[in-house]
Amino acid sequence: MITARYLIKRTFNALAAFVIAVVFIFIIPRLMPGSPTDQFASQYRLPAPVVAELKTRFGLDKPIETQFVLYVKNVLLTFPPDFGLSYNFYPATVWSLLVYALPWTIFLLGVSSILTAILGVALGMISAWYRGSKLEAFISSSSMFMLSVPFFWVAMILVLIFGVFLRWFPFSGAVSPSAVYRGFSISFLLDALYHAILPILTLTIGSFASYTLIMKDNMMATLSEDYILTAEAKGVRKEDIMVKHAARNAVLPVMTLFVLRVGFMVGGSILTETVFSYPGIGLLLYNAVTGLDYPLIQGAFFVLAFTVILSTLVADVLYTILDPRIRY
Amino acid sequence: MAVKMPSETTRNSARAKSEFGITAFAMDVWKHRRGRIGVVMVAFFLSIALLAPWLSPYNPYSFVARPYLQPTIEHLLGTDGIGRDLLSQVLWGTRISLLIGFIVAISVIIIGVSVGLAAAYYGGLMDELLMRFTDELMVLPGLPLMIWMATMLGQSMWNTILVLAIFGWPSMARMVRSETLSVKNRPFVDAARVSGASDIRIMAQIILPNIAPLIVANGILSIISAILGEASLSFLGLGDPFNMSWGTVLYFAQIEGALYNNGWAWILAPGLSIAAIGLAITFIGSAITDIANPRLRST
Amino acid sequence: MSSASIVDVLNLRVSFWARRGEVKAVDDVSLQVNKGEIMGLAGESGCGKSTTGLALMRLIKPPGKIRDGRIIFDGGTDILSLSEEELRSFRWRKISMVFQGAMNSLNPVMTVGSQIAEAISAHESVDAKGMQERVAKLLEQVGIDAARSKDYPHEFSGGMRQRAVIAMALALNPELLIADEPTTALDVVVQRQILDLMIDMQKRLNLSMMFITHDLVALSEFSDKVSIMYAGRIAEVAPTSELYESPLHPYTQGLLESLQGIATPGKKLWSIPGAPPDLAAVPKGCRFRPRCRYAFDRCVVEEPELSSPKEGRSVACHLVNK
Repeated sequence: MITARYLIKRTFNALAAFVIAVVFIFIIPRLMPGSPTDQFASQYRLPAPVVAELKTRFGLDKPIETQFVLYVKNVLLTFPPDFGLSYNFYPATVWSLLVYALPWTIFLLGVSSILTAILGVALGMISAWYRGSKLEAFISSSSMFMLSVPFFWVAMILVLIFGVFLRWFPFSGAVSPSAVYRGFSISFLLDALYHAILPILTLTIGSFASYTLIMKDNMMATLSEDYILTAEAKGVRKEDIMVKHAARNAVLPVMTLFVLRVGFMVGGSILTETVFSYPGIGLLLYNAVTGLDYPLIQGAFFVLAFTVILSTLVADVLYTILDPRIRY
Repeated sequence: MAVKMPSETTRNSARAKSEFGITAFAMDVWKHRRGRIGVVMVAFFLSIALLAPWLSPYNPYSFVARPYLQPTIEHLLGTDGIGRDLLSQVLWGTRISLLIGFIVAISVIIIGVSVGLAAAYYGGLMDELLMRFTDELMVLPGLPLMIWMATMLGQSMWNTILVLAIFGWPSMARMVRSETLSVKNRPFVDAARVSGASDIRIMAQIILPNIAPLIVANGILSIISAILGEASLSFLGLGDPFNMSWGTVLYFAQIEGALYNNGWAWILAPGLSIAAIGLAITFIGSAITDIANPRLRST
Repeated sequence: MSSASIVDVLNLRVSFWARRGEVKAVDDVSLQVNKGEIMGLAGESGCGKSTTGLALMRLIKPPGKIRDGRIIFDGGTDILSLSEEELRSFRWRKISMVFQGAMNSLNPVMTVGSQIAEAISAHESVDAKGMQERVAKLLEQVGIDAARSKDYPHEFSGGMRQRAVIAMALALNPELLIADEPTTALDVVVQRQILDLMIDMQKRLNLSMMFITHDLVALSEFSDKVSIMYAGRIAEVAPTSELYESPLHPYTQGLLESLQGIATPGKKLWSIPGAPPDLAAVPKGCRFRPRCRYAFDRCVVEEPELSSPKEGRSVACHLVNK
C-alpha cells in the first residue's frame, strides 16, 4: 500500500543520492594527479601555451570553489545541462553527444530488460513446475553456466556465429553506415532493429540467468507454503495454483532483483556496445575515458547516474504498489 | 518445561557452533554431488595455475610462429595476431585470473564483513553513515567507475585488484548487515552481553559463526564477480598487458581481429575457461547453501 | 461399515521417508465418523493425528506417501481410488478442512474475499455479482462484516482470520469438515469464540466434523466421540462422556490424570513419564509399554489390536482385551 509519505521519502533519498553523485563526479577528476587538462595535454603532448589557452577556455584556471559553483549552476540549474565542449569531439557540446547516444542505449537496455525479465521468469516457473525432470536440470545448469559468462564473450560468440559464419546479422553500428534517413521512417526503424538484434540478444542471454535461478528458488519456497496446500485442498487446478498463487508471490522478490541489476545492465551495455561499435552511452563513455575527455566523462557519468537512480526509484515504487504487505 | 538460564543458553549455542567444524563442513561439500564436481574443477584449475610454467609449450609473450594460425599439433589453440602461442597464453592466464579473483574476494570479505558487522551491531549514527556510503557506492554504476579509475591509475594488476575490491564490498556489507541484524536480537547475544563479553568478542565469537555460512556462500559468489570483473576490465584494455589474464587474451582477440580471421579457438578457450571456473565456484556455492540451510534450521 | 458413517477409514498407513529410514506416521489406523457427529481425534504432538486428517483429503506430500488402506466416503467412494480430476472435484465440496495456523493458510497477496471466491469458482461457475453475494453471506455467517472481504489477510486479527478460514471451509456446504488444531494459535478468549462458532455452525448445517487437537479439555465440551491416538495408532475410541469418566487405555488414563493437577488446587502436576517412541523404529509389542505402569509379559511381544469390550467403545490394550 503506497502512501504519500513513502513516496516522498524515497524520492528524497533518490535526490540525495543523485546530488551526492553529482558532487562525486565533480570531485574525482580533480582528485587525480594533475588537473583534467594536464592529463589530456600530457597524453597528446601539447605545447604549454596551448595548454594554458585550453585551461582558460574550459574554465580550469579559476579557483576550485568557483569551478564548483559554475559546475552546479550549469549542470543542475540549467536545462539543457551544460557540460561544456568535448575535448575529443571539439567543438561539439557534451550535451549534444549525450543526446545522440542516450536513445540508442535506452533502446537496447529497455528492450533487453523486458525480454530478460520475461525469459528469466518464464524459465524459472517452468523449472519449478517440471521439477526433477531433465528439462529442469538442463535449464538450471545452463542458467548457472550463463551466470559465469562475461557479457563481452557472449557478444563475441554471437558475432562469430551469426555475424561471421552465418552472416545473418550485422555486428557493427546502429544503422548501416552508408544509409541516410529522414526522420523516423519505417526503413530507418527496420534498419535500426536489424542492427540491434545481436546486441539485444547478447544483453538478454547474459542477464536472464539470475532471474531464472531466483525465480525458481522463490517458486520452490512459495510452493512449500501452507496456502498452496490450502489451494490444492480447495480443489483449485494445478495450473491456476502455479500461476495465481505461486508465481504471483514468487515474482515479487524478482522485482527487487531488477532494481539491483540496473547498474549491472549498464555495465553490460558498455561491454556490448564496445564489441558491436554500437553508438550508445556505453561506447561514448568508454571512448571518453580512454581518450581522457573530461567534460564528456562528467556528462556521461551524470546521465548514467541519473538514469540508474531514477530507474531504481521507479522500480522501488512499483514493487511497493505490487506487494500489498508492505506499508509505510 | 523449565526456563533455561542465560549462561546455559549461551553455552549451548556456543557448543552447537563447534559442531560446524571446518572438516565436517568440507566433508559435506564433498558428499554433495554438485559440490564435488565444483571442487574437482577448481582443483583442476588451481593445478594448471600452479603448473603453468611447466605445462605451457612456449613463452606466452614471445613470437614463435606465424600469426593467425588455426589449431595444430604444435599450437593446440593456434596463434594470435602477432604469432604468439595461444595455449600458453591461456595456461598462464589461469594464474592471473585466479589470483586476482581470490585476492579481490578476500578483500571484499574482510571489508564487507567489517563494515556490515559494525553498522548492524552499533546501529544508530554509525549504521546510518556506513549504509549511506555503501548505498551510494552501490547505486553509482560500477563498471563505468571502475573503467575510469583504472584509466586514472594506470594498467597494472594491483590497480585492477584495488578497483575491483573497492566496488565489490558494498553488496557483501549489505548482506552481512541484514544477517547481523536478525542475529543480533536473538537471546543468546543478549545473554553474552549480560555476562560481560566485550563488543569485539560478541561480534567475532558469537555473531560471526552464526552468519558464517552465508558469508562463505556470498564470498564464493564474489570470487566469480571478481573474475568476471577483471575479465571485463582487461577486455576493455585496462588490464596489464605483461600479466595477461584470460580477459586480456580476449582483448587482444578483439583488437587483433580474431573475428575476421576465423580465430574461433582464440575466442572459445579463454571464455570457456572463465565460464568453467565460474560454474565450478557456483556449484560449490550452491552446495554450501544447501548444506548450511538445514543446519541453521536445526540450531 | 455402517450407512450412518460419513467416512470410514480402514487400515490406513502413511509413511514418510527421512534420512533415518521410514517413519510410520500412521500405522494401521481405522476410524469412523458418523453423520452429524463431532469426532475428536486427540493425542500428543507427533502421534499422527494431523497426518490422518491430511490423508483423508489425499494431501500427503512427498517425502510422505499413503501406503495402504481405504477411506470410504458416505458408504460409497473410496477416496484413495479417485482419479486426479475426480479428486479435485471431490475436494472441498464433500470434505473441507480448516488447517492449523490460519495465517499461513491464506495467501498474503490476495484479498480474503477473493480466496473464498476461489474455493467456489474452482467448482461452480458463478457470475461476479452472485459470487460477491455468496462471499458476503459466508462472512456474515461467521460474524465478519461483509465489507471486509476486500481486505488482505494481514489486516485481519488472529480470531478473524480463523473465522474467515472457517467461512471458506463452509463455502460449498461440505458434508465433512476436518478441523486441525483450529484454536491452538489463539488466545483463550478468542479460542472460546471460535469453539462456540464451530459448535454453532455444526448444529445449523448439520455438519459432520473431525476435530483434531491435543486439547482434551476443548474436546470434552463438545465432541460426541473421541479417538485417542498414540504413536501412529488408535489407542482408544469412546463416546466423550464415557471416555472422561472411565478411560480404559492406560495412556488415556495418564492423559486425563495429567490434566487434573490444574483443576484441583494443591495437587501436584504430573505427566506421563518417558516419551513416545521414534516412529522410524517402533519397538516390538505394545508401543506404549515403556511408559505403561500396567505392562505385563504379553505387552512385550504382541502389539494389541483394537477391539470392542463394550458397545460403542474400542481399546487397543491387552489389559482390557483379555
